[in-house]
Amino acid sequence: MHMDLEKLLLDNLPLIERIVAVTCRRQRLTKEESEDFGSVVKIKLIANDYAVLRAFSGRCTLAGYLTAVIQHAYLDHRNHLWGKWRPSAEAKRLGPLAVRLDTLMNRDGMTLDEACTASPAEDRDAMRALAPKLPSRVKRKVEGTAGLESLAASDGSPESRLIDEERDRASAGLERILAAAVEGLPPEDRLLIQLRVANGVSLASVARSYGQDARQIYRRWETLRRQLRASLERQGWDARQVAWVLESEGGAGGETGAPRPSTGVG
Amino acid sequence: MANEIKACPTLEQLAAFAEGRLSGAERDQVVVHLAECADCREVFAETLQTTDALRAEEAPARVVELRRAPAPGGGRLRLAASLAATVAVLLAAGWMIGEQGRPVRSPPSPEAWLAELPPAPQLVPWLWGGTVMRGGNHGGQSSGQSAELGALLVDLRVAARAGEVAIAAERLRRAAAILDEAGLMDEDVAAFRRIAGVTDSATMRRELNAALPTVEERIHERFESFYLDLGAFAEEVRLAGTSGRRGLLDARRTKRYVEWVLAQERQEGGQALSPSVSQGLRRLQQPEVTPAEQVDIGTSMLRVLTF
Repeated sequence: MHMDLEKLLLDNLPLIERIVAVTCRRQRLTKEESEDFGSVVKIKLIANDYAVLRAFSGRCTLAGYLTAVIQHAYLDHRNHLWGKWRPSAEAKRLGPLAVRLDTLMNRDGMTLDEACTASPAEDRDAMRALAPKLPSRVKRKVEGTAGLESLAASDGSPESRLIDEERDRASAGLERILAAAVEGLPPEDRLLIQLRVANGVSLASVARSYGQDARQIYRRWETLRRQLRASLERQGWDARQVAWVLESEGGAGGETGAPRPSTGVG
Repeated sequence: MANEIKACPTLEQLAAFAEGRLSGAERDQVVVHLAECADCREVFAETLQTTDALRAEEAPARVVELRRAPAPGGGRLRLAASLAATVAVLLAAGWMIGEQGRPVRSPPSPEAWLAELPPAPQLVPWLWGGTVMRGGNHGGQSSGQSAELGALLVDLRVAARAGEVAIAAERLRRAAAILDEAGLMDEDVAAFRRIAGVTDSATMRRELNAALPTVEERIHERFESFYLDLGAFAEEVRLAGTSGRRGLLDARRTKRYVEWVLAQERQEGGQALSPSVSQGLRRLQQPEVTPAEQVDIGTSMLRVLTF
C-alpha cells in the first residue's frame, strides 16, 4: 500500500508541480514564496504515510482532487503566515494581483512604492492602476512624492472625488450588500451570486460544476442580476452603488494583469 | 477550512462538485454548505479558477516551447523528437482533462499553429477580418456574429503578433461593433475601442494580453461557442493554406475537432450545418487536399457561416 501511494505520488509529480506553479502564479507569489509553498505541498502529500492520497477514492479526477488539495493547502499556508487576516472582498473580486496589493498595503502597511518594489517588475504598472480601486481598510500611510506621481488616482475634480467616495462606500459595503442581496434566495442562486460577484469565478466554470449549459447559467445570472438590482434599490441602496457592484461582474474577471500564456499574442 | 468544521464537505466532494459529478441529496448539501461557509467557498472558487488556468495552459504553450528549443541533430531526428514530445504533451494534456481519445469541441488555438507557420507579417496580407462580407451580418443573427467574431479574434492575434497596429485596430473596431450590437458587453466594447486607439505595437500587444483572456471568456459565455470556434477554425484553415503547409490539418487535435463538428450534425438536436460547410469539412479530412483548396474551403465556410 505504502509503495503504491509512493509510486502514485512520484508518477504524478509533474502534475503536482504544474498545479503548484499555476497556483503560485495566480496568487502572485515571489520566487522564494513559490519555493516555500512547493515544499509545503510536498510535505503535506507525504505526511501521515500519504494520508491525503489514501483519502482519494476516485469520485473525481486525480487532477481535480489534487487541485482542491493544493488550493486548500495554499489558504492554510496563507493563514499560517498571516494569521486569519483576509483580503477585502473587493480585492478578491479584482483578482489575485489586487489581493497581493491589498495584503502588502493594508496588512503589512507598505506604501504603494514599497509594495511595487516587493513585487515582480511586470506587475507594477497593473498594481499602480489597481491601488485606487481598493477600499481603505486601515489608515493609509502618506504616499511619497514618487508614489503620488505614478498613482492613477482621481483627477481631483469634485466629480471624480464624488465617484471615488461612492466607490469606497460601495467597496466597504460589498459584503453587506451581497448578504442583503442573497437573503431569501435558493442556495444554488446564492452560491452563483457569491462565486460570481465576490470570487470572480466565470459563469462557464459555475456551469460546469452545476452540470448545466453555460447559456442556461448566463440567462439565470441575467435574471438574478435584474431582480437583485430592483430589490436592492427598493431596500434603499443607491442605484449607482448597486450598479457598480452588480454590473462590473467580478471586476477584471479575477485575472487582472494575468494574461494566460496560451492566449497571449506574442 | 474544509476539514476543520464537522459539517464541511471533504476536498474530494468539493472537487467532484467542481467537475459536475455530484447529484441528488449529496449535491444539494454541498451547495447549501458552500452558500453558507466562506472558507469552503474560497477553496472551491480557487479550485475552479486554477482548473481554468490549467486548461488554458495545456498543450499549445508547450508546443511553442519545443519549437524554440529544438533537439540537436539532423532534420529527421529533430522531427522525430519533436513529434514524440508533442505526442507526449498531447497525451498528458488529454489525460489531464479526461478527454483522451475523445473528440474535442474546439480547434487548436492560434498559438499552436502560428508557431509552425511563416512569420506573422507574411500572413497579414491574407487576413480575412470580416471585410469580405462586411455589412452582410446584421439583424441579430447570433450564429453569424459568433462565427465572424471567432475569425476576427484569430486575425487580431496574427496582426498584433506582426506588429500591424492599423490592421489590428480595424479588427478590434469591427469586433467592438459586433459586441455593441449584441449588447450587454459595454465594458468590453469600451476596452476594445480604447485599445484600437493605441498607436504603439508593443503597448497594444501588452494591453491585448491583459484584456483578451477575460473578454474572450465573456464572449464565449454570451455568443454561440460552436460558431465562434467554427469561424475561428475556418480562418485558421485559410491562413494555414496560404502558407502552403498542411500541418494544421494533420494535427491530431484538428482531426478530432473536425470529427466532433461533423458528429454534431448526426446527433438528434445537434447543430445543423450548411451542406457546403459539411462538404468542406469532409474534404479537409482527406489527405490529398491541397493548400489552394484549403484556402477556398476556409473562405467558402466563412462566407456561409457569416451570412
